[in-house]
Amino acid sequence: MLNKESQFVRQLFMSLSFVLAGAGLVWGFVTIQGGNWINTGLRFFTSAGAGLSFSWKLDGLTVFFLFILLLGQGFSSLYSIGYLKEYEEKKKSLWPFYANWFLFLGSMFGVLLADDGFSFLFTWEMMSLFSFFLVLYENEDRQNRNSAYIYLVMTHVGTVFLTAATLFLYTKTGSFAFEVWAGAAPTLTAIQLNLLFIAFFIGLGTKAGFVPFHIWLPYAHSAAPSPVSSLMSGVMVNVALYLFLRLVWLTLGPGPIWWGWLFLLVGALSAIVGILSASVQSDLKKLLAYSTIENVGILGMALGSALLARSWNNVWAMDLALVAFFWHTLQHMLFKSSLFMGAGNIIQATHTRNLDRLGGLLKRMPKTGLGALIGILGITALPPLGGFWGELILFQSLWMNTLNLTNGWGKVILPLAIGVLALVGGLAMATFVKWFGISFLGQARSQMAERAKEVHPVQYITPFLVSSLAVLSVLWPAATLGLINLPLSVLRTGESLGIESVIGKPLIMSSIYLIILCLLTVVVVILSKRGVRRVTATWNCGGPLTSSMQYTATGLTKPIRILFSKVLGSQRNVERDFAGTRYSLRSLRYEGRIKEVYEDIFYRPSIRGLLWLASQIRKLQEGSIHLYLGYLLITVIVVLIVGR
Amino acid sequence: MSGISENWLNLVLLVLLASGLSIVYSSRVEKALNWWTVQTVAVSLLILAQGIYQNELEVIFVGILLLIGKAGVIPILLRRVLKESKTEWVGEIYLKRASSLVVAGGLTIIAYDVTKPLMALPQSGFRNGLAVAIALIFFGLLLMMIRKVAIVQVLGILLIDNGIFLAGFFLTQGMPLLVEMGSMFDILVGIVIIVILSKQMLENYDSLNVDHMRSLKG
Repeated sequence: MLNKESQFVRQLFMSLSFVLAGAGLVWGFVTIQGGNWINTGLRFFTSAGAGLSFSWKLDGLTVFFLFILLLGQGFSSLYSIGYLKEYEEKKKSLWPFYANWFLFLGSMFGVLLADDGFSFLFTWEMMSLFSFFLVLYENEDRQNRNSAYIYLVMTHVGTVFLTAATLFLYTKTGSFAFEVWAGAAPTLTAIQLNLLFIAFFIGLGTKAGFVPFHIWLPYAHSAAPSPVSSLMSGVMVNVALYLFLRLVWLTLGPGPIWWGWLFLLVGALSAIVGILSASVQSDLKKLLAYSTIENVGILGMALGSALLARSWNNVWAMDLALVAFFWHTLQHMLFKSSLFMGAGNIIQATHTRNLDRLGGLLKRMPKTGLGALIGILGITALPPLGGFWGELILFQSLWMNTLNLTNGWGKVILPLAIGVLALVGGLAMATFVKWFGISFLGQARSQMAERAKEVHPVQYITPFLVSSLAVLSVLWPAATLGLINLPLSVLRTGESLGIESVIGKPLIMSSIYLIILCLLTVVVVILSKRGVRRVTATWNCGGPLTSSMQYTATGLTKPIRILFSKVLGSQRNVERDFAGTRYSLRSLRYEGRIKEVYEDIFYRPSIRGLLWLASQIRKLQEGSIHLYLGYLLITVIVVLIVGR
Repeated sequence: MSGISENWLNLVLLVLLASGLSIVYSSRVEKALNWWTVQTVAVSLLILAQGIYQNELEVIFVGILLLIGKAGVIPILLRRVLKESKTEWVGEIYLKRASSLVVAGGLTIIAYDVTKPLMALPQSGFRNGLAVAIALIFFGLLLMMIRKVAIVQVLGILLIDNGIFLAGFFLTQGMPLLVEMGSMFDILVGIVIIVILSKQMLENYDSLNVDHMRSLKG
């Protein structure tokens, strides 16, 4: 039987984490009411004037992301109470999980609150390290170890750039404080400023998962235990985006216009690549991870639009873009968390992540299915829920920017970006129809799926809670906008108007749409109940109904794969074995493969180059005594010649 | 400054350089060992002569010590190992005899070049001496690099030792007795250890070829 003690410890720790998050939220709501520190910032635990000490600051921008982090912490902790039970049954020690869980959360708080380069780098490294340990928690699987390794390497490559930028700014200004950096930014030459920007872009973009630095993300986010995946996808990615605002927007200040273009283009690329890769995945969690890349891409486009508007002094478009950014950040966190929780439930019930072995789960796990369905409505940006409004405001912002321009390439590219967004939205629909349809609808494709049972109540209640919060954020937009107003008042310079002046009434109306839609649904349901219904068996051409008659995960998105075969680099290989005539087959083998385009183009060549260099260097050290003695001789001669 | 005459000094230096080159050129271990013995005897004679000319008992004592300790004991020890291992050839790698001689010649020129700034030495013969000493150090390193048999590498170390000893002698006109004894004792102990290790090698690999040591690489 289960160990009572470990059960108690699990419940204690995860409830503690949950309660702490709740207390943090309550404290936040109480303190936001009073004081004007939202704009100026609130310092604490900071020894003023000290050179190399940690300093922390709290302002409106931080508060918003703290809110996201606390929500993420609360929900995933609550979910963990149920999820971790499985490890207990497997007799796997949970202590490493607890330790890394709290340290990971703590380091994210640290990154958000850091007010100088030193504490930022310190907590950033902590965050990378402890999330790496969490990814590695299920280390029995070789694949997971590989994923964690890729993550570690990539995150360190990113940190190299961040460290370089930080140290450069330190040598320039003699201080680590962000404020001093912001003061010194206008004195830097254009080249220095641009180099700093590129370093920050690569360093932070790696963590955020911008294409082409994204290759680690699908591996790491899918290898981690589900609560950790939801925390990484929902929160850690946003921490990286927060730093873009903190370091690029607020510290490096208004830069050249190409910064905005870079964000817009990389964002569009990430969105397209992310959703295309997601659509052809048949791994339950990898698909969600790729969808995270897509959403980060959308957020990147919002940032790009905001930066462009800032360069063009287009206040309206800038505010719209920022509102879209924060709105979508919040919604993405909510929906992605709930989807990862749904995925976690499926995995615990069936012990597989392969979509092709699932099916028919809606009958067996109806509550999980409902939670996942609401999450999908949100993430595919369908009108009544929050995902839609964020993208709508982003459309508007991009259009505002277009209108503002008189002519030039910008006038062509910006509407194209809108087109990209629309395409991404459509592909997202297809992707999640596949995700939900293959796993929940139809017949079970394997024994495991057939035997699936509903999981621990906490595990389906939490997604419901998340979803209801998402509904609430649309139902009561004034509260959400009030929250978004906090960071906005920090990022806007000059007059800080209320948010209503920015988007006026439309968003306030969102709740009305939602209510009307809900009513319509109810009406439709009631009306359909009254009709005459006939329940019979599914028509099956007279043969026995088998699960192989259904769509496979690969087959469902095959049109997309063919349409975008150049981008995806998809290949297929069909082996037919005819029995006598061309019309009867003895056997058929189909093999489809998606090329990892970015790994093939960027990463493998550079890794090959590194290995080649290493092997050249290794020739110096072959273990031959004669060679070593030769070095000795050469050294002596060189020293004598140089030193004379 | 009184001392042995220029001509004699140059003659001894010729013997030293020639023997050094001959060691590099030898293809049999025994011959190289003989040449090294000749060289060491020449070194100790040089020291002895200097001591006698200057009437310094300490220097004479060092010369005698060299003659007995280095030129006497070490060759006997090494010859015994040679006989046991039945090693005959020096085992050339990288460079054959002729080309190694050419390289050694080049190293001699380099040695003269690098000692140019030190040409303020009082006696003109000593300038040559310093260059020859550095050249001997180079020869020793070269020998260790281009030969496979462990005993030849030991010879290389001994050659370096001779070079260092000579360089010290020419630069300081005779080091304190304690230093001389220390360095000599050092090399003697070193040789004894190497002889023991060579026997170990013989037991393990049945040869003194250091290439076998590669299998120890981790």
